[in-house]
Amino acid sequence: MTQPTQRPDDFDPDLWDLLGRHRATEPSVGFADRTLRRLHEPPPRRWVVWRWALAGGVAAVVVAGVVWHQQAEGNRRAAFYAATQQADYLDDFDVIESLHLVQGENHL
Amino acid sequence: MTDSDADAELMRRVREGDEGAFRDLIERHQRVVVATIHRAIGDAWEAEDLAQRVFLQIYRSAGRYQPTAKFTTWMFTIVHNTIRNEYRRRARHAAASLDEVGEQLPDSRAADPARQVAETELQDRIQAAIGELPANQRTAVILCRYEGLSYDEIAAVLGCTIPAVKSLLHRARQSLKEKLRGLF
Repeated sequence: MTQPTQRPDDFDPDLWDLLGRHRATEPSVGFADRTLRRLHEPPPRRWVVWRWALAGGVAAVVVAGVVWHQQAEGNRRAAFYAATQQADYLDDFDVIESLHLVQGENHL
Repeated sequence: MTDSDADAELMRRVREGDEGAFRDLIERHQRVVVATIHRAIGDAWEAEDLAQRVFLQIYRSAGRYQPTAKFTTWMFTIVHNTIRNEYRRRARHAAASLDEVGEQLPDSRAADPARQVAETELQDRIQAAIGELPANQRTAVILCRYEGLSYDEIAAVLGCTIPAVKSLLHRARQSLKEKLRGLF
């Protein structure tokens, strides 16, 4: 893109000419080579990357802990329920046995 | 094949990982990218470093480039954002003033050292005046005066309307005339 720029009508001619006297730097020799080399460099380690990784790790541990606790709690309640059900069942057995004894039978 | 078509074809190959095409793209546009950044920040060495980052960003974002848009518009958008981020970074770290430019001692062997001093001062004052403009005004002036972008192209780079570009340039001209008073 080296075409000469055309002054817009509303741009002051004197300012346009003055700004045109400013010289910008040219890229140094080997700029493209250096850019391509940089393409294959590993990204710089930044504390912010490690900070986010650490935060992610902590969050994962917390979530895993909550899930494990909920599962353990659920298992405990299930075991308690099963135990109470069995107790009721055994109570029923006692009642039935009692009835059979009363009636002179023994079906168990 | 027009310049736009050539850029679009190179970007198509860059999207496929063709580093040769990427090199060609760099060589086609390195001058304007380095010059634009240098005009904005005033430091030639930093300008090269930031220009490299622009091209690396272009490479990594090649998948997002849409051939329907002019490549140079997309490229200058990345340039503008890179410059803006650099200003913010410097402001956060309270780095050296962006207005500072290196002093150049007159070469006593030059034919006219006094003229050289005057020329250096001129360059420094123009650089400082441009560097002091707000980000969007600065980019609008640079793209208009030095890169020949049209108002609608500048609007596409800045993500604003054409009337907004005209307003930016108007305010920029007022500031520059004030800062460069005496040089006209």
